[in-house]
Amino acid sequence: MELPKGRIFRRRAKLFALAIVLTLISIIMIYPLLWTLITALKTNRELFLDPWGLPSNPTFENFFKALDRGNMGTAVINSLIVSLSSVFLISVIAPMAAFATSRLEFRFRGIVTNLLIAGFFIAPHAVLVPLLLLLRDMGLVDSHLGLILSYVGWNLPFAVLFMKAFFVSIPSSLQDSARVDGLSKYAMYQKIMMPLALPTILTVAIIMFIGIWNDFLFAFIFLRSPSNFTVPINLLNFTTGRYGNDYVAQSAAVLISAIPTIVLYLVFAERIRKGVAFMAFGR
Amino acid sequence: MREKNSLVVSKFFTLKGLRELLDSQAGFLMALPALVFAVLFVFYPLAQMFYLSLFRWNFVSPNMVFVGLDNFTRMFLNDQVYLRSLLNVILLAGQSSAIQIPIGVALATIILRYRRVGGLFWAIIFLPYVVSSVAVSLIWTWMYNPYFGSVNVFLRAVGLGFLARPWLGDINTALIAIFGTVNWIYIGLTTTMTIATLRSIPPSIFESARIDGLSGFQEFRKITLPLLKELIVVLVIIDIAGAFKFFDLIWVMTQGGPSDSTHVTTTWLYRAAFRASEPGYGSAIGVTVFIFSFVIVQLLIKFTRSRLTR
Repeated sequence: MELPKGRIFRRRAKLFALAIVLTLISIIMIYPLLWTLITALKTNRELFLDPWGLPSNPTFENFFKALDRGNMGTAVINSLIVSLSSVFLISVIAPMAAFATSRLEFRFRGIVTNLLIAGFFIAPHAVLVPLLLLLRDMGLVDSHLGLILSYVGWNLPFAVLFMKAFFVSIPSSLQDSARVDGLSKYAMYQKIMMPLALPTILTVAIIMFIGIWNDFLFAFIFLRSPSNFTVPINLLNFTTGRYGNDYVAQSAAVLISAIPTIVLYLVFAERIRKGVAFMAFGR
Repeated sequence: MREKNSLVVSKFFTLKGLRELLDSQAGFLMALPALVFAVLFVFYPLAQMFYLSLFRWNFVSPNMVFVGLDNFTRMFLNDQVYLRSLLNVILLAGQSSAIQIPIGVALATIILRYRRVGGLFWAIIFLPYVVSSVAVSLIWTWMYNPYFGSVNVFLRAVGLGFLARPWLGDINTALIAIFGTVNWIYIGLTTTMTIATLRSIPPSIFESARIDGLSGFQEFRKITLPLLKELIVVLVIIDIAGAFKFFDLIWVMTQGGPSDSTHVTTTWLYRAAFRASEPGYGSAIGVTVFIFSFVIVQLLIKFTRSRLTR
């Protein structure tokens, strides 16, 4: 069927307009990140003389400055320790609890399930004072362990909720056949359920890693000494201290902080979006 | 009787008996580690927050002064900044819903309709969400910088130099500037949640619509929009809960200033509890944050669920 010429033209004009709008939005989304990258390769003099200019002599000096004098090197190591430890604990504890609360019978299962999930709906900001007091009583203020335990406690609810959605979807015939084979419930979990859940656990782990790597709040309240700082709080410290006017070095620090999560996103985009979209349905 | 008791006791001491006991309690035992974390780090502090909210204290003094509900009356009757922070939270939730949801829905339908370009576009608009809020806040503080900030450089370049100003330092524009950054971060998330919802619609519906000769807009209005209704309700609820969880961006960009005009409840809570060393008052603010964000949101969820599933 041939379309009349006017209609083809209108269609093309519409597509053209749409392309322009999408391009404009893309530019708005990308531009601030790109500007930061270009700024990180300049000198402060160049930044103030020509904010839009390209670096006349691009160097990585700002990055070394951020890592070394800006304490970003230490902060990256701290963040890796804290994020990876928290993610590991969550990845072990959450699937187990999710399996138990969705596939096994036990007394008070409903109450236990609600207790495990409630934290997802509570703003941790509300309890900052008692949380700090708790860590103080445990002797864990300004320590990585205190931070890790807090991250595990407040990220488990989402992880459990997410894993539950997976375990609920497994056919019960699998569980029945395991029972017939005489496997204990632990063996059933370890030998059958957990291997099946591994891709979902990976999704949870990636989302948790990004969230914890990026977290500012808990680190801001619980950490005191720069040698313990994680990346986001160190970033803020770098912009308010002695190097408060060294915008080009700060730009480099911002990029260093964002590289790990951006790389993860580029590799696991589909998984991350799927997991994040779950927040809408998890509620 | 004696026999039976010894049987129960001996159950613990044989390997087989122990194994059976452990297996019968497997569900609870496997949930236990998570439960310990929930009780210790979520519910115990939550209970203590309610308790502390009834006291005047300064973190270090051994005697806490019981003041009843004074912290709450002070908050609602005498604390202008707290009331302002509540208004800001409402504005934040309102503008997020009003701006992000329509744009997010439009972008989601476009992405799903033009798959090839759409995939790349989707990847781009979601990118800011994976960058830390502190990094994003710093980047946008520079965007708004009066000397080298791109916003002002752009305005001057296109002849609108009279609009140039220190966006975050100006009491009339600081909040708007923050909202701009908020939308820049979260538009990708809203779009992604919408796409996930639309993808749960069987594609055959769209195919038959196309065969019936529905235009893109008609298709959107007749099929997509009704199916989106529940999602929109969910997104509004997320925006409300999110506004009460808002902290990082405001703390890094303005610290609640200028003249305390950009505080949200969480930043004001932080100021009260940790800068002014009034953990009792801070906890009282926490109680209101909890009630507004948790209780009201749960009620909203229940209300909309029962209405939507009827």
